[in-house]
Amino acid sequence: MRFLLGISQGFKEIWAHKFRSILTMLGIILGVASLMAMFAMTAGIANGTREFIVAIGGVEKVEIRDTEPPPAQENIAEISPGRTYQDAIALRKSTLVAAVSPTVDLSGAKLTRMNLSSRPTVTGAEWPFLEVENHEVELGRFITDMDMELGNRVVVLGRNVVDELWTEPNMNPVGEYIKINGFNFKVVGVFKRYVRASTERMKGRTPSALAVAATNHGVTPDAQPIFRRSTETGTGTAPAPGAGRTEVRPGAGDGTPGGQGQRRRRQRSAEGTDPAAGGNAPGDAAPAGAPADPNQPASTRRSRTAEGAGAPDSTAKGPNAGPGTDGADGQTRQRRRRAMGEGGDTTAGGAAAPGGQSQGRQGTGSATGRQGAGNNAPGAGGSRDGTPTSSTFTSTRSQDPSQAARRANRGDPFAFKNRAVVIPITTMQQIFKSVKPNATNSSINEGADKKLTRLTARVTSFETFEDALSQMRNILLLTHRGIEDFTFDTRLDQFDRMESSVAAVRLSGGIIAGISLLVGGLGITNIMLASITERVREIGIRRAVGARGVDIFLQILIEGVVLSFLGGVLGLAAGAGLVSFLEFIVTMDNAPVIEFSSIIVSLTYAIVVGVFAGFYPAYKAAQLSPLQALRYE
Amino acid sequence: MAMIEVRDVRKSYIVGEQQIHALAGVSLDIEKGEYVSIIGPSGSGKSTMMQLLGCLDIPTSGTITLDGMDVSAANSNTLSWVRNQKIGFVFQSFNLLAKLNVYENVELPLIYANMKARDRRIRCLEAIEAVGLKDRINNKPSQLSGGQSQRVAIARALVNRPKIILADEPTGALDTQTGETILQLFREVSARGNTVALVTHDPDIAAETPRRIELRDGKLVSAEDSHYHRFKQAKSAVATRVGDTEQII
Repeated sequence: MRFLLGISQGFKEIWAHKFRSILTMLGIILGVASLMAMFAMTAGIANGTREFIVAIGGVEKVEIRDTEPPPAQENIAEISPGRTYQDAIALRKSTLVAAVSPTVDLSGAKLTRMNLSSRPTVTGAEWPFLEVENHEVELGRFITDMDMELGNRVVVLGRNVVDELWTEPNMNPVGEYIKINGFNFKVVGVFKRYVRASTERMKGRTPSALAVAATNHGVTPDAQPIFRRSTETGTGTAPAPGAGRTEVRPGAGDGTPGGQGQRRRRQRSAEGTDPAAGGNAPGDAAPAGAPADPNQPASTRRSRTAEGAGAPDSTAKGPNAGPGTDGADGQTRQRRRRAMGEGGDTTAGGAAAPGGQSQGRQGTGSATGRQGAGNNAPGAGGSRDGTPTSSTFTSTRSQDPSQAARRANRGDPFAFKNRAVVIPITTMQQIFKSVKPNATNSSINEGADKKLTRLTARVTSFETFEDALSQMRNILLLTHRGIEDFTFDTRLDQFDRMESSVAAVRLSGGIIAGISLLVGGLGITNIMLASITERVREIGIRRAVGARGVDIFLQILIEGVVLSFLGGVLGLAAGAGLVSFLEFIVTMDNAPVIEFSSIIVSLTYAIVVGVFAGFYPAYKAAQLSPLQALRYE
Repeated sequence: MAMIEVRDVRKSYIVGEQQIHALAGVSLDIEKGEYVSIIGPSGSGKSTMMQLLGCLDIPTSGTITLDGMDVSAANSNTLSWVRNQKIGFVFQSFNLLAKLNVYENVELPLIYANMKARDRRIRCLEAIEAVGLKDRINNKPSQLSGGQSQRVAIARALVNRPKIILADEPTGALDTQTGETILQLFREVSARGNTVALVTHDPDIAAETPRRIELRDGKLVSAEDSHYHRFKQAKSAVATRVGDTEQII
């Protein structure tokens, strides 16, 4: 009862000094807002992380990798057959293993259809691949046991590859034929297009320059969906009647004063790797074909963002480094030279290029490109401007599949999933096992042996994870003739690492925000001390008509709490605003999420701060002698 | 038993290094329903007396019993309770809370008495009506005249139906005419059976009360029915006959 009166008293007091109260609350408002924004950010990162973990197969996924055998076995390491299909067969007998997916990769394969081509990694797999890799077939079917047995020349394509080989958006290519390194394959299925849940959510919003810039600043490791989406929106609005079909030959144009459009294109191609890169820069695709000048502001902005990609994160150098590996291509080299020559904005990338180390890093989303556009562009009859290719900025797989896997772990998993090309593993072994696409691909270049590129398993349940691992080890020791030349790569460490880093971010951010809230609390204490000095006489009057010390104490304390609570509520509103602003700035993949718990925590903390802030002034007020308080002038 | 019993009360303050005896052994009784004035020049200890009677302070030695309750050694919470339940204060400077309106000011003692909202309302309106300020109920003290403010203060003093009303120079800040109406109010209050003690330095006001207690240098000079009072009453009787009061005095 009296408590409620105290609260209304507190509100009255605040209302009586509106401006002062707002100033006092500002500390709390900002503190709560930053606390909330911080929680939302870490929640976003945690969500992104979890999504990522799930995308790469969840924590139940175990990858069996080659490793050096222990020193004692080095001299007899030869007797191990390595990872073969036999391993997969043996592992399937374990009840603790739900699915085993052996794959043989063929990287750098050339997929062609009419005059269009793509260079993804072709994976030879069988049906457990779907379950282990968390793939979903959208159209048609996946590879069946029948295909396996007959060695059918059928292929299931990822969406990006479809986009590259068919220019129509959202094409259904099931039943059509493509060529893989010259062999005819029938398309029997298409994987779903993988996008972040958050990207899905943000659909329809046009990306801001801010968002693009922030993305390129490497705020988060995976920025792809932004680009992909922007490509989609770009092409959606600008199928560019005139320009859309204009042939822009990057190769031909290179070296010549191509103007803004081409410079931009080059940067693009550095960022992404796509035969059609020349034309597929999202918004500017259409104008690129047109006279270049009008785009200048846009293009400078682009180049600045490219620069941004280079500066903050060394991994961002990857894209520009991309052309380096394909340095043999004259055009690429030419581009690179131009890149180096042309101002500071691209020199970072250009400088990194000669190293040819692009494979190593795929840290930032924009940094996925490895094979420069120059590599592919000449192969294609002509890249088309405005082609609705969503893969413009997605990566080509590296030639070393294990490295690709590693990269996929670090970068955006969807780029790699959307470029999947899957054929039956038997077909792979029959047709391509002796194919030597390039020298780096050692695992399938050893003639007739059936070594696997990847051997991945999914354990039945997480509870029996350790048991499953030890059982798998025993099984593999048998098939490997006792040589322990394999190791298990689980997502657990990765998961733990990510979780703990999120926790660390949360903690440090929380401490900082907490300190700012504490400072806000000190502000309240300060103002309330001044306020009680001002109100000594009021306190005296209240004491004279019968208020006890504790009544005064509670009154002042409640006032402080009301002040901080109001500040907290306003802070929540400000925090929500801040979060939506951050949502705008930060990549959508790790879009901040306001969780209910964070609201509760922030508000509770604000109230606790209010209690502490009000405590001393309240105590001081309660200690005033009624007589002196009454006499106070 | 008397409503107020004061027995050999001493109160001393230490100002700097000097000990000042504000009250040096005062004993007096004030009966229930009595209307007394406490009078004396400044420094005589009358304000200290008032503070001790009002439980705003406790004596250095001696005992004070209010309505049968010894308050001379009570703790702070008990004193608060006594102030709330048994005493109503009226100050020279009104001491109303500027942020609260008339109603809320009058309500204040009832809130600290933990009274229910509905009862509070009844009591408040009653008290405000008694001082004739019903139409000013939502005004802030700044919107009231001095006399109105003092009447609000009286309403606040009366609202919890205390047995003792203590008034410290209640007319000090008012003009004579307004002061007269305030004194009239006190007479009415006293007539209703409340014990009223009025602290003043003005002999004219002290003359209003049937009994006056005179203090000087911390000591009781007289606690008798004032001759002056009787004289003044006789004087007014004569004055009504003669018609010229001033000349007679």
